[in-house]
Amino acid sequence: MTADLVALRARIAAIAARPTGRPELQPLPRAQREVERRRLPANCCEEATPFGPVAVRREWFPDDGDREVEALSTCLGFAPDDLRRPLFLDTETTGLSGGSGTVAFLVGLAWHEPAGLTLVQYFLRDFNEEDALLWAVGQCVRDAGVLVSYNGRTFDWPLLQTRLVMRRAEWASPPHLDLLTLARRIFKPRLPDCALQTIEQAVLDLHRADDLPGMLIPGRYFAWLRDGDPQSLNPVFIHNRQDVLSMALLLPRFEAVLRGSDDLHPLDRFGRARFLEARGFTDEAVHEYRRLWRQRPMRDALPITQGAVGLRLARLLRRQGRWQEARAVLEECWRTQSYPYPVAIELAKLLEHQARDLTAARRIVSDALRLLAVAVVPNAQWQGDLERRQRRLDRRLGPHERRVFALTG
Amino acid sequence: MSVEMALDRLLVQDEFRHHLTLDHTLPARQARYAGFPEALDPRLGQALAARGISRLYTHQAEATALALAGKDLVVVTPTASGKTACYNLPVLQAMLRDPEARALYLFPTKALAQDQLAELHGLVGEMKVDLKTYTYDGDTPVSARQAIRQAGHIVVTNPDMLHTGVLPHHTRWVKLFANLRYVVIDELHAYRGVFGSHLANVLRRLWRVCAFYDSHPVVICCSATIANPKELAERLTGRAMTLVDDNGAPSGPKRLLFYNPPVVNRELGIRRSSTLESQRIAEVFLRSGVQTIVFGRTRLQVEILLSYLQQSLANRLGKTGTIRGYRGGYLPLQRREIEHGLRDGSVRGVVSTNALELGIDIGHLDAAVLCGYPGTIASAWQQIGRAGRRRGAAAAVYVASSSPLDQYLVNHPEYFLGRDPEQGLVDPDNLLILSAHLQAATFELPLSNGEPFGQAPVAELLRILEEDGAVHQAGDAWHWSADAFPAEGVSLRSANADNVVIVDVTRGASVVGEMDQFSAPVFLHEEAIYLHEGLQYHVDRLDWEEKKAYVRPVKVDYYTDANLAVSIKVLETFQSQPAEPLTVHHGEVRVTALPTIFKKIRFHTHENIGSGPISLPEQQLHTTAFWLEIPPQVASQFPRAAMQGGLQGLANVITQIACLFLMCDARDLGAYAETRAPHTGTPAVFVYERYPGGVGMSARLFEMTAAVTAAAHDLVARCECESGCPSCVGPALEVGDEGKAVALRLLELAALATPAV
Repeated sequence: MTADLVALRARIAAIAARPTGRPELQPLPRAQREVERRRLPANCCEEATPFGPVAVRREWFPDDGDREVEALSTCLGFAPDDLRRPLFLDTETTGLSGGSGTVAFLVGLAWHEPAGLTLVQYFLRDFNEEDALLWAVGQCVRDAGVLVSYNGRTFDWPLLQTRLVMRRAEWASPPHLDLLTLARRIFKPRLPDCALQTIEQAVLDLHRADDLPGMLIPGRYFAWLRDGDPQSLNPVFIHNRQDVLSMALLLPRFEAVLRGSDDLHPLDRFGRARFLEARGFTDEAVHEYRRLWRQRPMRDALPITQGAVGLRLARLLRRQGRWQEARAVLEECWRTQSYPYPVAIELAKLLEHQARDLTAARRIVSDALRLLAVAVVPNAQWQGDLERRQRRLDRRLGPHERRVFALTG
Repeated sequence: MSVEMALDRLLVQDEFRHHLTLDHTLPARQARYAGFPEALDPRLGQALAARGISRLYTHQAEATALALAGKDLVVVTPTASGKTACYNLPVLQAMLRDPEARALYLFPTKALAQDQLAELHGLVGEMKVDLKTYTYDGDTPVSARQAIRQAGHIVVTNPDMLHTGVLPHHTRWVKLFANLRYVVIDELHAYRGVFGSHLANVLRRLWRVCAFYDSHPVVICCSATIANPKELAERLTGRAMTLVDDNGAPSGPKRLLFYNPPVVNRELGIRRSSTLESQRIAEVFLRSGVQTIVFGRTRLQVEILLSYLQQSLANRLGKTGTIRGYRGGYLPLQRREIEHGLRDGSVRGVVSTNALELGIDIGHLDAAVLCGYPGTIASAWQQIGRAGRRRGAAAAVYVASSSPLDQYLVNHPEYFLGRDPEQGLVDPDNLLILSAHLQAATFELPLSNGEPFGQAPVAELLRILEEDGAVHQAGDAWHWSADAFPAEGVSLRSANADNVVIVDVTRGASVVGEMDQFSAPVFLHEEAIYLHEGLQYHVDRLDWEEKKAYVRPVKVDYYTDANLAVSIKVLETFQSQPAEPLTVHHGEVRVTALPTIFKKIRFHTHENIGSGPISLPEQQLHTTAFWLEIPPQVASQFPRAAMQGGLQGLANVITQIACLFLMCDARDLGAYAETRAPHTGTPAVFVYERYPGGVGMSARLFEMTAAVTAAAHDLVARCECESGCPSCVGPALEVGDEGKAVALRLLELAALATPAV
């Protein structure tokens, strides 16, 4: 929109002055527009709804029928029967910043049939078919046990809720499993980021060819609105289709990880362990950490990760009262300088409170500080923590022991 | 008693007395009460009683009754006359009766919003009911926003937040909009000019959203005293309004003095510094133990006055801590402390900018000193209004500066006492402003075919937007079809998104100010000395592409003056009026300005000590203007050389006087004189609006030609300078030796021609 008043006035005047009936400027006569609107993107057909027709594309895939959801439902708190009827959902929208003017123009859905997976993509041919689209999607949502999305909790679902308010419609509200949150917990140790395509490549070994970048998707839709070219939207449909299918493929993989199958990559096992620890399944978490610890060194892992495993194991063991075991783990980490500073702090605490060997604790802390002093990258937080611990230990040691320490230290 | 003592001390000085142009006592006013509305919820009655309120003033009762009866209204009351009760009472009453009811409060600034919130919390706390009141603005932490959307009964916000944070996300505010009973707009008079025109459009969008959720809130507006509160309220809200202006609050008698510092250099028209005179006067009050507020024009002036007063009163009042400063730059906690000190009397004196003019509660002081005219009569009354308690005498002294406006005003005190103050002007249908909001509105809720939006040519605007790819028609409605977020690019306060930002490079690139694109080449060219609140900055670099000026604070003994090659082309004349022998017109113009060179001019001596070229593109401004044409038979009476200067002087003085009548800033208008106007070949003097498309000032100026020319004539005639000075037509260097005489003669002709009002 022009910011120049001169140009704006000129354009308004030009429009006002145009004689009626000039074909390139007048909207098409109504009948012709209706015909235009009946155009469909490639591979789509029309289906009836109580609110008029909606454009849709359907596909079916046979699959291996694996519906195992035991570990997922236990870990996440979903009812197993619900989780056996997942509805995978992903939307393509006219913008990313939300607001009442952002529209979901393509809603991809998938769910299991007895021997396969049904994929359905509802498409908004034009803004005035939204009621029909929302009704159709709503029917699927109603039948869902659990809604499964990727970042849907913060993006897709609130956006669809906005559309419902705008069109004064209502849907059921099934439980929601956002795979992104799960991915962040579990795959963070192994992967640089948790974008869907990163997970696809690393976990499913799936590499998209010529995927349309998300930024370009709204533009394709606006072009469709203006030109109606049936082929122009193919890349968008393909992108959306893959988003939904990948979720369907990922769900069993998450199940496998959470089940703790033997062939798990050690870093995924670590992710599993952290996830279990966070959800309060302490025994299981300890079991996993211990397994990782025994099978050290971890494949593809940095020393710092190895140390992190030891640290977490030690912490949990200490909480369970098994402090000698914890001590052994921590001393090993310290010896190999894996994640040395937090390990030193934890070890010092253990030596102080459980082993009641203040001198040893003091020694560890001062060694750690000496190490930190020559570290390539300084760390103010650890510095502060170690110094605090040192002061505390000094207070407790009393002057005699301090002297002894200073002499022998 | 001490106020009287102080006044005696001042009036005993001959020089002071002889330079007073006004010594008037505003009589005391008795309180006029009316009862509480019958159906007032007892909990509310008790809460008010607990705060010492057992009766309502007439205006409070009237406003409450109207609001509860579902009538939109605008209350006009001077400072601190209990206007907040006018909206808090009906709102709380409605909520006590219906816990689902909601209200939206709009304040122009966050500080005011905070203030009001404290007051609301107090009342609600007394009543011990579960009514939640929150501010929702840029400072609200993200974690709190969800809760406010769900649970807030009264949401307190500002227009900017409503514009980008609430309306475009209205589906998250269903609870608020579906149950919205009241919209409160306080400090209505602040919404004028560009800001007001934007607000009017934001409100149009708000009413659309309310209609979508089927709610029909009642609007309660509060305004300071301006000439046209009802008109302004109606133009801003688009609704018919009932005016409540029967102020029942009491006040003691108030002595009002106007003081014009004596002339110390007749030739150059220089007077004694108003800053020093204000300090002198304030000291007399403070030494007499009178709690005093001094208003300065700029932050710099405030700081100077403050340090002078603190120094000279250090011994007398003990710690200097009892005289404080107050301005926008202070931290909120500091400001709360000072406000508190004023209320409880521990702070004896405060020096402030107009920040303390708006409704913040500081109780009442005994004396106010206005150092210079604050820009509008309404503001002046608000500042004067800070002095005066329910009982006991108070005093206010206005000390005029040497600006033309101040000089005019101090010599015409009847403005304060008789004539109406200024008009608040807005143009909600300014095309540039409206079209930006039309886009936002389409994003919020698709526009139906034939749906109106103000007085705009909606169909044509939508076609243009469609051509640009921003909107798309489907069925009977127009939908937003771009992935940009329309409200984000629109600032409600700046004239143009393309303002030039002024950055101080010595302070970590902090922003010192902004200037509109059209004026920037004149004031921000490279090597210019830019003045901001009395401080000097040297413009090191102007990045025109990026619209940034990089400046550095300096202290030099010269100023810079850019030569501007200006031309004005009249595009369309809307109205003309013969005013024999002159004619006046109003219409649309295109102003083209090309800066050529700049000069460095030493202070006081006015020597030209250097110059340089300016290479910046030509600027075009398409806007509305008011102009005066001088026919050949009149023009031929004056020698050519003198004519040019006289016309320039005329342009200068009319522009200054126009600000008096239009409630605008001198920066909102531009003055231009032409000895041979292209469209007539005869001399003409233009006053144009600096905002593209104008906001209605030229039209009003046209309507008030008679008053304006009479006032200008008066100012120039009375001025004691020889051939021009900054207090009337401009310095003689600019208008030439004959300039003042010519301007005066032209004004005489104009004044004769148009009938005296």
